[in-house]
Amino acid sequence: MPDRHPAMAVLPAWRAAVMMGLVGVGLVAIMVQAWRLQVENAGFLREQGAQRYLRHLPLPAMRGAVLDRNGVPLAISVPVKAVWVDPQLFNHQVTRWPQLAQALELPLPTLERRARGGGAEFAFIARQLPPERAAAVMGLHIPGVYTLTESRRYYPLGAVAAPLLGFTNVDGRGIEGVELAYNQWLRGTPGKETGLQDNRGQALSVVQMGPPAEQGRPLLLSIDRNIQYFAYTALAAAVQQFKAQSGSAVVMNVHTGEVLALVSYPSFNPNNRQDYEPGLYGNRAVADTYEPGSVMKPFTIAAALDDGSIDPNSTFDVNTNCFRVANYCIQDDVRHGVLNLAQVLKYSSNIGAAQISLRTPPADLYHMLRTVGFGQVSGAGLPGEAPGTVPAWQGWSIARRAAMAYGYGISVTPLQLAAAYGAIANDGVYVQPSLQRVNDGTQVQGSRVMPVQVARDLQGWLAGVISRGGTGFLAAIPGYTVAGKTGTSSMADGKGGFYKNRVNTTFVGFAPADHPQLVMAVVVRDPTQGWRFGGVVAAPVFRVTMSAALRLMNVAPDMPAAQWNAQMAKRMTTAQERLWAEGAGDAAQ
Amino acid sequence: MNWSRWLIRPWQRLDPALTTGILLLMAISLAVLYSSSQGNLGIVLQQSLRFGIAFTALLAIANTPPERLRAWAPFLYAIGLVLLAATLVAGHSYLGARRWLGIGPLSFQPSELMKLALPLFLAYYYAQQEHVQNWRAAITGFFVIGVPFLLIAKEPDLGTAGQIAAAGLFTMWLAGVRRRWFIGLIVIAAVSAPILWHFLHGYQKDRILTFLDPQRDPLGSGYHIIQSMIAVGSGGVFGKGWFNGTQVNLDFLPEAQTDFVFAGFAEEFGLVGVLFLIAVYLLIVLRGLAIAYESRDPFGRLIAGTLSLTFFLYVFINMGMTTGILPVVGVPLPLISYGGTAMLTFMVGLGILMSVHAHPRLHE
Repeated sequence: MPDRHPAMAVLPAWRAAVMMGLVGVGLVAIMVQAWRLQVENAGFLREQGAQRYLRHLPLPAMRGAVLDRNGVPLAISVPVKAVWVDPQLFNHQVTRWPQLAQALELPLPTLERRARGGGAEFAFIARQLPPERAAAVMGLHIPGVYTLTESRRYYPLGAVAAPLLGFTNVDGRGIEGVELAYNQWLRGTPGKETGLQDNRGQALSVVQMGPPAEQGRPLLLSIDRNIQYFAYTALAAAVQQFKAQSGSAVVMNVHTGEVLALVSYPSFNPNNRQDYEPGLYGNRAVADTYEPGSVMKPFTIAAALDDGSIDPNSTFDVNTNCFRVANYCIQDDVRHGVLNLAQVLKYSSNIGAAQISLRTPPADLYHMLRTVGFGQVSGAGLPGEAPGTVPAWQGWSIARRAAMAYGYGISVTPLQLAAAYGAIANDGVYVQPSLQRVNDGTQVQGSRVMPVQVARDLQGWLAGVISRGGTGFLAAIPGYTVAGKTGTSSMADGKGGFYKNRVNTTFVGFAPADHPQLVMAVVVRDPTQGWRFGGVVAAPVFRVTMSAALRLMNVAPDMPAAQWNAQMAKRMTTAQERLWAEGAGDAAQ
Repeated sequence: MNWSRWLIRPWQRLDPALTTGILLLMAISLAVLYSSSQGNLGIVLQQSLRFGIAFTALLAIANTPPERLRAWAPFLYAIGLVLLAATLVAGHSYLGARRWLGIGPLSFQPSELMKLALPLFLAYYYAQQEHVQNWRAAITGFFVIGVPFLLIAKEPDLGTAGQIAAAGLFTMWLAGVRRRWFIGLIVIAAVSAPILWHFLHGYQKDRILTFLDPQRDPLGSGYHIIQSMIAVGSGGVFGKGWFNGTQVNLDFLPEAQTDFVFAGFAEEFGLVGVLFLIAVYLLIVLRGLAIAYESRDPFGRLIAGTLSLTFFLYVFINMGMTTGILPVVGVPLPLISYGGTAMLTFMVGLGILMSVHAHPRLHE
């Protein structure tokens, strides 16, 4: 029977054909698909593969250190780690998020916000971590979690130099102070490399080197760390003692213009800026302008001597309670008789200064003020430096001419005061302030702003301010001759008038008086307690700082101890002696 | 000579064409595993040892006359059913499925035994059946397939259940069961598919949806297939070269030594290598079908034809899922994937082919 046992017979051809047909279809399907993948779409798929196994790594460039004039670091970068995630992988690991949060000591909601708040393939979770902490995090082996190296800025001096140096943001870019001004110099350029990575994102080997990282360059500042420190602590003590609003000070080399210290108070901790407020902690020594008051008198005298309006032996009758100019009444604290130029400065006579100014063509006074640096930025190269204002002389009324003589109607910065007094100390040559160290032996080009003899005369008269009966006697430094000027100016109330009872106190001086080396300006704003005069509030800051700075800069004492002791008795009035003993001073003459 | 009986004659049973194919696959397997394990000689040695054991089994089966295999068939099938039932009751649970049965320190998948026992038993049944074309022969066949199919599907291991059913259907087709039964089966399957969908497990639905659109969940269920297609495509025409496959060697390809070994091979050896590999498999399948065609014995013909087609089915499913034209089911690439159990099954199956060829029916 034909159908008794089909398997015994030959397999019907159609059944074999169906079987072979299925095999053939299968084979063709596989080969067609292999062709599509390996020939038609090979390029695209290879690209997709490369995206998975190639990784492009930035090679971090370390930011250059900021050094003081002796090479001591003021700002340095140390390598730290940042933890980031690839949300495409990380979002599948929700169950392990608490683990990561714990390892990073982050609240879980914060971690969630950061993980979801970043890009599609990259989100920072934590930055500026110590390497050990990052290693512990990577030890958890959570897919999609990676680290990269970045740098953290560290400021060894802390608050002492914070307003000067500024700081960098988390990406290592300078956003304030020296860090901002010299960002290009300091930052360096990151390099690139391409490497293989495995499925866990671990780098395996470098296959291609891009440009290498260009490290940031170190910046040698003119600042002396120790002088900076003395200036800061002395200023802070004065601001606290007199319950002042703020203070700032600048120490400068009169020959080179090198700024040795530049301090502001209050300051902030640059290593932990949680409570940093931009308005409160600016670099006041260059950013704050104010009406300086009596410290401007030497420039009035310089202008008048320079154009021959007065001569060094001129005298001025100030024997009045009210020197009337237009509708204003100009007064001195104490009624004097006839004063020579030395005495006008020593007793800080407003009436004397006004008389000098009224004898001098306003254009000449204006010119003097501008050439010694007022009304323009100094060029020291700090961000936020204010130019101050010197109104054009054509608009000066008689009253304005008189007020300009003793420092009203003009606004200046502490740095400008230091540089301008530097010109007197430097025998009439103005040197632009510099924050960068000037190499020893370099002849710094300055510009002559007054005759040598005028500058020498002023040096002598300003030395008299520190003598017996002078307003600046609290600036006296044992072992050195000192010259300087006090200023106590009413605070402008911002409405065209002045506060009745609020002042800014200033002392600007240089030492040694005979052959000046260093100049320092100190401004303490709005002291509210005690004797609120420049000679009392600001002068002691000068004394403490300058006496340290002279020794640190190897300036030889020019007054033997015996002579100092002998002169001290003559120097002070009875009232002054009492105050000197108390450590503060009554300079109100 | 007595020694020739033990030392020479067994080797004479080896079919030269099949043996050539097996040795080529063995060489490819060791080369690919060496590369994808990044030069781990231990893995290569272990796989070599498995080849040795499996080849010994092949040698033994090739020297066993088909009549004896036929005589074992009912018992193997019965044992297979018992073990499958036991697995459901007492098997190891791994990743939510009970597929493994432990006997002492060993554990194995009874479904692996059924891959051979079912075709053997069906061939045994149809070879002695007088009226293959009547409905009883068809219903019996479906029943013999259905029981192990349901037991394995219950584990759940739908992929293996389907493969076993396919092997049984090959036997029925070759035996001459009327085609209306096959057409009916296809119609019923098509109609009931939407209903069966509701009975599928979540991961099973996932696999099918992912197959239809891998980008649906590129990091979850679609990850395997996307990474695999990238690896295959990256190979291009000539491949990246041995040991240069980045997707495999950098761990991007999952299961790179087992189910997805083909993707690693395709990346390193390109379209040229793929075509060569297909040619080797085709050599084995066509030689197997030729053995079936030449056999004068119904049992030998049925089992040889079935095993050849099943062998091809595994190759097709594995390559198909690796290249993205089939959903991902856990099927190893015959004789290349790392692992012992599947290799033993394939070698024994090839041994049966050699046995059929080496023992032309002398009596009856």
